[in-house]
Amino acid sequence: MKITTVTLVLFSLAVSSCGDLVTEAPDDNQVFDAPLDGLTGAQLKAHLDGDEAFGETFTVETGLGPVFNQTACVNCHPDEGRAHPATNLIRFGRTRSDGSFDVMPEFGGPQLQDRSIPGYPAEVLPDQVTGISERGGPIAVGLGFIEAIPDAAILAQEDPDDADGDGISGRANFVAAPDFLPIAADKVVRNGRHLGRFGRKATAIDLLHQTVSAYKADMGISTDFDPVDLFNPIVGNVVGDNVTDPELSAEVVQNVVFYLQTLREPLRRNEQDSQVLEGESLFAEIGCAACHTPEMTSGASAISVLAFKPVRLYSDLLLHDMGPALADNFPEGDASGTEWRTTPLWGVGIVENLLGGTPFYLHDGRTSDLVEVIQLHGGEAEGASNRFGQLNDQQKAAVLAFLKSL
Amino acid sequence: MKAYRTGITAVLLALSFAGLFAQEPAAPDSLERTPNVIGGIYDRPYIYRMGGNIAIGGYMEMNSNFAREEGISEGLSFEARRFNVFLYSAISERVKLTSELEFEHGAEEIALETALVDVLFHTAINLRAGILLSPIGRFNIAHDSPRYDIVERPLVATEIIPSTLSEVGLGFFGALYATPYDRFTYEVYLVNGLGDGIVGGSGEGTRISSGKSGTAFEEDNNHSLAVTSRIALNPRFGGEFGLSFYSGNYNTYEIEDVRVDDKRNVTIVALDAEYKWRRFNFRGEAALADIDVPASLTELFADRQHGFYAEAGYGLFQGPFLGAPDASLGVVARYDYIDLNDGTFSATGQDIGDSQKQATVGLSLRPTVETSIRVSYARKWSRDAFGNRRNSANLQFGVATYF
Repeated sequence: MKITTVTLVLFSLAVSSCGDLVTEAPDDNQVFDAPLDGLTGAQLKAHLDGDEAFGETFTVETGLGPVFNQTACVNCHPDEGRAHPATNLIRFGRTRSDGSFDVMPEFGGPQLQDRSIPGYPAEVLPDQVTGISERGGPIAVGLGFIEAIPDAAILAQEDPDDADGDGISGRANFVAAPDFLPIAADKVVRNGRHLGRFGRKATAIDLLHQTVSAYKADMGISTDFDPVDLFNPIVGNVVGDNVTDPELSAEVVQNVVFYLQTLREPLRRNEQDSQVLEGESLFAEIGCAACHTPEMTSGASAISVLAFKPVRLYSDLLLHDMGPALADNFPEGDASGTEWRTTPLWGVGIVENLLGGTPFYLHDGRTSDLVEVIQLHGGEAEGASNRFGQLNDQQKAAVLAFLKSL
Repeated sequence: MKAYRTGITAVLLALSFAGLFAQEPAAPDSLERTPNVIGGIYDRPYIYRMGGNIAIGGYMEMNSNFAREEGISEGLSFEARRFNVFLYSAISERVKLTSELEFEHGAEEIALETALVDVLFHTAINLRAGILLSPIGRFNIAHDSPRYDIVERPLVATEIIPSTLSEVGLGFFGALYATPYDRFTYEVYLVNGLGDGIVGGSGEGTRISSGKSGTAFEEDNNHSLAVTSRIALNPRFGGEFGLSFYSGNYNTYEIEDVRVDDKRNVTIVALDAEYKWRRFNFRGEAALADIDVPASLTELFADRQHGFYAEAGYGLFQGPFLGAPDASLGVVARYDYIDLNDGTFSATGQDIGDSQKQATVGLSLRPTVETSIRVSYARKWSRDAFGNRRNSANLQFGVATYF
């Protein structure tokens, strides 16, 4: 009976005594996926409903495709973080002889849906393209705060003609609003178009716009808001799958929008570390903060915990010429083929905890090296990039430590 | 591939280990001359309990779950996992019918898992027709919960071999005796086969279990039958060692005789071993699956999967316990590994994740050999396709019994 007793004792000890045996939650400032503090019970329930929908993978039976890029929101935003390059999507088009840009809808443009349900052809990149824009999904948290920043606060930073002579000439992207999008009275209108703030080139006006577009263009899911499914034009039949449209209800879409609105902003680490503080100071000194605006303030919001709060996103949400190394030659709205919306830097230090420990930076995830990221900044950012290059090793390390604290 | 080789090595080690003890056989009785697989549909206690030509029996299992993932728990809950009813009829000396009706989670899922007729010609060759258990891996044909001491089924036997895989078809089974003490059994069947859902039926990636379809019991989706077979050795030193395969076209490539798509095939190869020595018992199974995937879905959907499990148990006690004259208490440990996407990303050269490792330990008290009262603790380490990790743990209490 000795061996029996020993086994029983060991088994009991193992199961009952060690916290790690039942897994521990990571620290809040090491992960993205968490709700805002201060949500009510009903809001938390809606947040969790949206979380479930955000994680839903679509199948042939539930309406996936017929052409698509990914099967779920989380594929491009795994753990609510930024995408793995394997999920990058491509937008394409060609410049006509008169200089205008053609997104080539007859080939399925502007977005290449390079995957398709079995038995249906995927789209292929036509030979005539002059602009190919490869992009990965961005971090999906803190978006409620970005949405709540008033148009006026963003537009106040515009300097399209570089009137102040600092070499930075940020400008807004004004885009046409789809019919389904309710536009609040306080939104700024220019030539019948509205301020874009989401997406790599700021082509989505708000999170509903962004979400409906992603369901359709990325997953081939029609919704109550946009009930026409995708199809591959070369087939010649506008019906691609045999699932009745719309494939997703407005309720589910709105839950996902609410989920995105109520995902907490990334929390910082080592904020008061002396090296981080030195880096923060250098970051401003060499001119990075001219576009990567450290803080804006949210305005009124239907979600009270989002209203009138400091938003430390490190972006001005405006378009900037980033030079030839980052150019995609794919204009969208008012954004040219060399312009990109300033990417918010919050959370940049958390991404290295995800994707198996390999971060992928820039719009296409081409590098895992933050120094290379800075070096690739050209155009309006060339000055700041050069000034970073002139820092000594200790100063460079401080800037990187600051970035990794975000 | 490293993990796959480890799996094969584990199974081969089990075989070698068994071979060691072949040097001291315990004066074996000659094997009963039967074509039936140990632990299979005719190796259930209900058939012999009542005698007569008709028998009704079954098994039930329930369990509790207390699971945590990354520190988040949904608390303690109970699960009415299965209530399966067996019906057996010896229609004549040479014609037998056996069936199994499964109720999962109460009446949430009801399935006729087995309904077959065996026509017995000779130990070496017999006809089987109806809804049968595809003989791919040992677990699929001998999966009754009371036979096992761990609450959860092995991952390789549910995620790669989609147990319980029952299909309509017909074929032959039998046994060949090399000596009175060494037996080979075989089963070979043609079945309607798995369906389109293998690729596209789950948005998570290739999932062979999504190819199971209720309509396949009425008609094959592509009029191209699948073939499945298993050969097994019962050597004189005990245990069973099997090799099995499953292969067939799974997608609907023709509609009304018009070719609308390319043919795509799924093939699974499995090795299994089960052996008992003194107070120890060992089990293991390894499987490798190759799946044809459309070019537009590569990487997102796997064209190769593999996995294995290895389990060892030890009998701590056997004898009278609380009025049960032949009770037993055993400890068991199992290691599972599955890789559901055995490929690399062309964009980065990195391995595609979608893999799981799991270590399980448990205790099983058997008041009778037909009833297991068990507690299991499982720790799982998962990686999604992109390398994001998920750690989870599950403490389960369960009861499973034949009746």
